[in-house]
Amino acid sequence: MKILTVCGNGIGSSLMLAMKIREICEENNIKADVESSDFASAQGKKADLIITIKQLGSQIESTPVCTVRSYVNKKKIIEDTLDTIKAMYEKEKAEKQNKKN
Amino acid sequence: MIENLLDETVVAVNVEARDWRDAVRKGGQLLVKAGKAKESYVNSMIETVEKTGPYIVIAPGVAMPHARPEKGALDIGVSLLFLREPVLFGNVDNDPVYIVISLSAKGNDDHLDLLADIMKLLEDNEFLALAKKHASKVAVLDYISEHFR
Repeated sequence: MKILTVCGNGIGSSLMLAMKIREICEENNIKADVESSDFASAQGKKADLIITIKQLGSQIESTPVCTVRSYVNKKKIIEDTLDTIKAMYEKEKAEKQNKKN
Repeated sequence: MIENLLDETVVAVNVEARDWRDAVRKGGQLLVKAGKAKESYVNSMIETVEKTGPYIVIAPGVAMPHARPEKGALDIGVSLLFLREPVLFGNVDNDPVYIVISLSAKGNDDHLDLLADIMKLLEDNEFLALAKKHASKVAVLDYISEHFR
């Protein structure tokens, strides 16, 4: 699955968040392609899930959004995102399996 | 990486800041002084907060002002301010701010190692305590070089 992390400028917080999301995915055996972006370019990028803070997330309509309370606090990020990422990943796996059958 | 970038030019302690703008400006000025950014970059750092809100206060007590590389960044750089009195950025979760880590980057991801080091500092209670107990500049530089070798 493709995950996009988003912050205002795309050179600070979203990169930090992307690093944490990669760690979290690895620890949970979730195969995800994690990219970071600034808010303006995020609108034109394809992703299965966008992860960002509430203030920016409320302005995104094109892609499912998961909001976090912190860009850097791993515990909070896990609480805010892991269930959603897991659910999407399992769904994607199931869909791929169905196609094979 | 951070140990190579943080030297006495870009670290300041006991800094007096009137408000968040003053704090961002003072952090940005150190980047300018070190040749890492143009004057215009500092204005853009302030504009970023005005436009996108105080999300740059990324952890309790810590702000990380920065702007887009094309706004006048000249090189990868970082500066560190310990404020004498904390200032408010308007971030309900993480105010008040007493540490300002200003950042400049040339591209979108050539400074990942620097960000990884900053994240280590954000989770390092011993480092955060240095700011609260008004440690000297020498003590701060020593701490960084000891912990990032």
